[in-house]
Amino acid sequence: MNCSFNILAILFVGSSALAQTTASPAQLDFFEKRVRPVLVQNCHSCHSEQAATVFANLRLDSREGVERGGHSGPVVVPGDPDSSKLIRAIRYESGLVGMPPTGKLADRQIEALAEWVRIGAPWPEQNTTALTSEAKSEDIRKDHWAWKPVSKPEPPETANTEWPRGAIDRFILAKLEEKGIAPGGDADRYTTLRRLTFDLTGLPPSVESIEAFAGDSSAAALESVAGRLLESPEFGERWGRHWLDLSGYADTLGLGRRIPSRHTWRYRDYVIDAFNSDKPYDQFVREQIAGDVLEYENDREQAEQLVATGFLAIGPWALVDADKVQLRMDIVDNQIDTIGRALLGLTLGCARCHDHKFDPIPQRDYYSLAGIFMSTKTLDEKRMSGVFSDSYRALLPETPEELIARGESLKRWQSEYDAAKAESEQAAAERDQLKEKHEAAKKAGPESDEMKELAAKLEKAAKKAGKLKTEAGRLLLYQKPSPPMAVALADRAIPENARINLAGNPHMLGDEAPRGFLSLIKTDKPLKFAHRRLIGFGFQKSSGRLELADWLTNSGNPLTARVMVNRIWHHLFGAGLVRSVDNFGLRGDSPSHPELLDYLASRFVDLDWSVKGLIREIVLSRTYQLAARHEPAAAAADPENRLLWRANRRRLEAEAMRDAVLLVSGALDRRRGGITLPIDTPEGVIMGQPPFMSPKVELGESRRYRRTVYLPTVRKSQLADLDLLNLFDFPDPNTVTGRREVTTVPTQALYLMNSPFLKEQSKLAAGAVLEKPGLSDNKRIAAFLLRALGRPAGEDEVERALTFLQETEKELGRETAWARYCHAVFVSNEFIFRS
Amino acid sequence: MTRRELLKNSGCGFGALAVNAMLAEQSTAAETNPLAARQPHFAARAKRVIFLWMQGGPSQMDLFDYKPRLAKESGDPLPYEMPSNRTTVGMVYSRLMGPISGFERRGESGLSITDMLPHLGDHADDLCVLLGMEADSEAHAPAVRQLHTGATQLVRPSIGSWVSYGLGTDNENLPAFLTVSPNITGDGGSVQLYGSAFLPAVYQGTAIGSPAGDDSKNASISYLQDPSISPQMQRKQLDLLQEMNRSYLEKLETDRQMEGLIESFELAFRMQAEAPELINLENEPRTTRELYGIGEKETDNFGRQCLMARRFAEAGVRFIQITDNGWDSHAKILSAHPKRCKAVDKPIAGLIKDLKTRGLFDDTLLVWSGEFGRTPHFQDLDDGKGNMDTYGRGHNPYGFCAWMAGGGIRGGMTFGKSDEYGFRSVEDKVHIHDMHATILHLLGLDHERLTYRYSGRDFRLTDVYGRIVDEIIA
Repeated sequence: MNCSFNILAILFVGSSALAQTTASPAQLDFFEKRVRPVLVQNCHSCHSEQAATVFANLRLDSREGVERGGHSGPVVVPGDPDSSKLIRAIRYESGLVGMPPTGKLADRQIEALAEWVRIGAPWPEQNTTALTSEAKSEDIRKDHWAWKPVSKPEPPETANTEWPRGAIDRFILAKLEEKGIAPGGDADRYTTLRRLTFDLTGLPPSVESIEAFAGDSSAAALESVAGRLLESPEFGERWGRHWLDLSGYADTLGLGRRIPSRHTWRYRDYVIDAFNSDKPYDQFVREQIAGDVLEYENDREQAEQLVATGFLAIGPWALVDADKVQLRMDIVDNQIDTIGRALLGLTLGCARCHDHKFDPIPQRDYYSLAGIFMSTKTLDEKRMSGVFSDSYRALLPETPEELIARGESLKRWQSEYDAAKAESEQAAAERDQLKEKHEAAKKAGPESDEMKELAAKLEKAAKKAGKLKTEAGRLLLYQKPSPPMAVALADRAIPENARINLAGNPHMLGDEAPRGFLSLIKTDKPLKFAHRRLIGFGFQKSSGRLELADWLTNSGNPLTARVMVNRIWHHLFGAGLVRSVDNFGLRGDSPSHPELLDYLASRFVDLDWSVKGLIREIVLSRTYQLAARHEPAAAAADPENRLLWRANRRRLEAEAMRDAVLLVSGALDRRRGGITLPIDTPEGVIMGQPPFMSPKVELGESRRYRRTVYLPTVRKSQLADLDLLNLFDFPDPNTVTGRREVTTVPTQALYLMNSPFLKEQSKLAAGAVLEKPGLSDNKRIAAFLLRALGRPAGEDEVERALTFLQETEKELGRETAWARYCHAVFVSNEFIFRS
Repeated sequence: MTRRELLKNSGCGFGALAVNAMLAEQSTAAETNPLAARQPHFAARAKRVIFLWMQGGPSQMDLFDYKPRLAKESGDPLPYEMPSNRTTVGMVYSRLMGPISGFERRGESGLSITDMLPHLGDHADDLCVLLGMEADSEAHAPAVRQLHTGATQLVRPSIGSWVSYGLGTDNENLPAFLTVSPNITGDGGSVQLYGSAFLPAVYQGTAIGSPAGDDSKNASISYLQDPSISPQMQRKQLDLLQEMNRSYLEKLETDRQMEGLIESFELAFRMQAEAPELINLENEPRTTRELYGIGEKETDNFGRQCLMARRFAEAGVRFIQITDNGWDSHAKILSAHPKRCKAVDKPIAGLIKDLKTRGLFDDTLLVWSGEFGRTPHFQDLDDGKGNMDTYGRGHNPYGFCAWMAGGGIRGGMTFGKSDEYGFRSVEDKVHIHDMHATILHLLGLDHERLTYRYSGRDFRLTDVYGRIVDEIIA
């Protein structure tokens, strides 16, 4: 993080009492950049207000402290470093206790401190920025739109009363009228259907639905299509993936290695199911924060809630690192940052090292939250020594039937594995025998043909042994039936408060921060932490996550609903009412329609936090059904289309692109959910602790054509088979990404032109087009375009296609020429954009 | 002429279309082409960087940091304390271990260099050897991340991405940041090492060679060509595609993103023509190939990487990374290190010589480094039962060496000092952050001003650290 010390220095109206002269901004800048960090990092653990015991009664965290000095008097003589005890001590001069006692500072640091004394030891007037002083921070809190209570604005009156269909349209139109912009025309039926189908399901509309919709122009037709799409299982697959972008979900653990995780898919399926069943959003949040300590009525519910905590349990943890203190704190930081950005639109991570520079979030509040997660188990605590760590996993309840089924599959697996292992051991023995023979022959005499033959045999045997060992390893690591488990959270046996990490360094601890929430948000009822809570059959000490979940979903918390409705808007319109969807702080963007945002937020709560309910209201608005057409006058007044005088055209996400190609080619495998791994590993599983996945791992045949959301998500880049995701801005699973990048780079075009995936799919598509008997080529082209682009073909397009086919058929042959044609359509702008 | 007419009249040449579009919309040139060459903050000493990563951590005591006392006391118990937070194996029987090979004074400057690097020694007067390097982690993954991105545990953009972001590209047919045969399999290896993290994806490195880190002989750019179709036929297909795109765009009147996409297809098509030629080393004269050790078993792989690096440098690529794997010698360092030295010695010497011949040396910055160095004591993984041949050295981030050469660097010098055993840096220390700051400085970029706002904060490669090592700048 870039702590702009120089900016800070300008904020201070500084004068050095030590030197009794006014310090120049440059001097203070020098102090902040070169001196204060040295003091904070090396001296404050013993010589500051935060120190447990202030050694020698010397404090080096304020001007007064430095002036006063310690037990034996002042330690700084301004202007004279050689006489200053502080400088002599850090130089380790004889006769003094060398400071810091842990080892001499770097020469550069010693010089910086000496130089600071030489120029008169300037110290800024204030030690804290104006921002964090309480009165000021209270003002900021009250003034900033995002932290005010949610209001329930009435939809405004508009001059044009014909255009709006409902409340949402009135909010939009009122703003347009204010700026003198007329809303653009409506989109045609085909465009509307394709837009709606992609937005709600991530797939293009079927030919049947196109024909039905085009023939029925009633308003009810749209309502029924929207209803059907919302109820389709593809809805959850689309919107669940939006949510997964905000979590650390992946099918591998570890930041440095790809450690396969056979249990994380349950979290993915939980999310998809939650969207499909329209689980109220507040409940969805509560389960993900504190599912392990929520009440449950049956095993299924308990399992579901445990799995939900994967939201914070699955993440980019550096599982191969010896510094466990750092590791634990980095995990806590990631969890706080995820809650902040995903749920609250706050960049809480900024307050890890110091008070937030822009938003009124003191460092102390950060550590109040940190205590909650310090008291939470994310790692397997039995494995916290040495270099390796592992995630904690919770066993899920199993029905007797499941138990029996697992016993049987375990038996099957065991015999398979035993066989593979025996085979592997035998091959290894053969190899060893040959090796011995070869060694003996080498010792016995000079190079001979026999020896060469032996060497060749040995090489072959070694290869075979290696391959079999890999195969056995693969069975063991990826295929052993295990009891159902979830990578989940749990409360630790003894809760603890966090201590402030000075300058974000977990090895340098300051004051204890009692567990609590952000002072920024005042909820309507004060929340208290339960010390003990009844869990199952006994009492357990409580981390405070349940209370945190209550606080997040409390009706007095304005952020949770605002942030979520803005995300929904973002996914439907390509831009949020607040464009910075993950940052509602002072440095985030302001809402283009603050009243609409509040209207939607309160409506969302009134709809019992129903995501589907809110989406339905939005997509039935006239605003959603605008054409994407350019209107010169409107564009001149609002070039970025912030006021929504037209629809935003946007590129399909990587998943939608891939799924659409598969659907059109006919290859799409619509099976839902289930385990993601095992996957084929042609080059080998690398054994050792913990196992890690070979980079050459391939997607198995059995899942090659499944919807993208069900394919393995892998940290450190997606599988090579899924390069489409690597190239088209699929987000790094290690980050919270509410708004995906849309980049255009030439390697994408190379992929679209030359990848085996598109060639294969084009061939399949062409095969299907040519298969139907008795059609003219014109008809075939028109049918394909309807299927691919969701609209009837124009004559000129058919002509163009025919010309291409005629020109290439001779060299390529009919089938390949058609495949090349389909390929061109698949990679055309119209196909990969949603209009 | 209106923009629309422009689009209509530009015929079938889509490269021309994009140029016209840009002329008509100068102000958005940066937006439409984020890779356009940009002015540095101040006059640059180097135009490009070739970063030679010695994966695993080379041993400073055996290569550049000769320690007479270590040689004398070889076999003695450890005279220094190990850091308290250190977890390590094979320490029970640990003793000091003198340099594994001889040292020679090379060049007019008389730089101490191991006799395992005789060819590189010929260029001693060009090298600035940093003997006081420091890093923060002793485990590969965090240390490797730090070397490439500055951060040990967090996901941050790599230095090559920062450089492309700061300077853009000099060749519109090629990406600004290329990495040859990157290591993403080994401990610490990852696409993150050439990833752009929160910087726009256009700044990420393009990998030459499969991500599995195959032999550089087969290295290529993914999906660069489709061998099943002739260029003429593919051009026809592309013309059809662009015609579809154009008529769609016409209907829409304007859409910058789609124009960008249309142009990217043309760039891809040009790259398809230019890049294979650039990667194909068969076109180089035999003498040049031999200079790099291409064709010799031990040096072929890294020689190819070095020669590719030179060709990319010449073609205008900003940041080129090449990687030699396998310096992590916990065991058998007596045979492992000589092998690695052999593998890189001639290729690097060839690269320096070739760059000089072509007048590229003075504005190309070479940086050679591991993610950390090794311990002066041996590590014995056989519990005292093995012989000396099986010994190796452990990881050491407290003191190690690196070198820089070329654009803006004073040659023939060492900077920094380690203790008498080579365990810890004690004087003129250069932290990885300092090295990063210095690299950016030589490229004309101020490491405190090269920032990117993400998640409400301005991020830098050097975070809040970084000192420009003025002492080594010519």
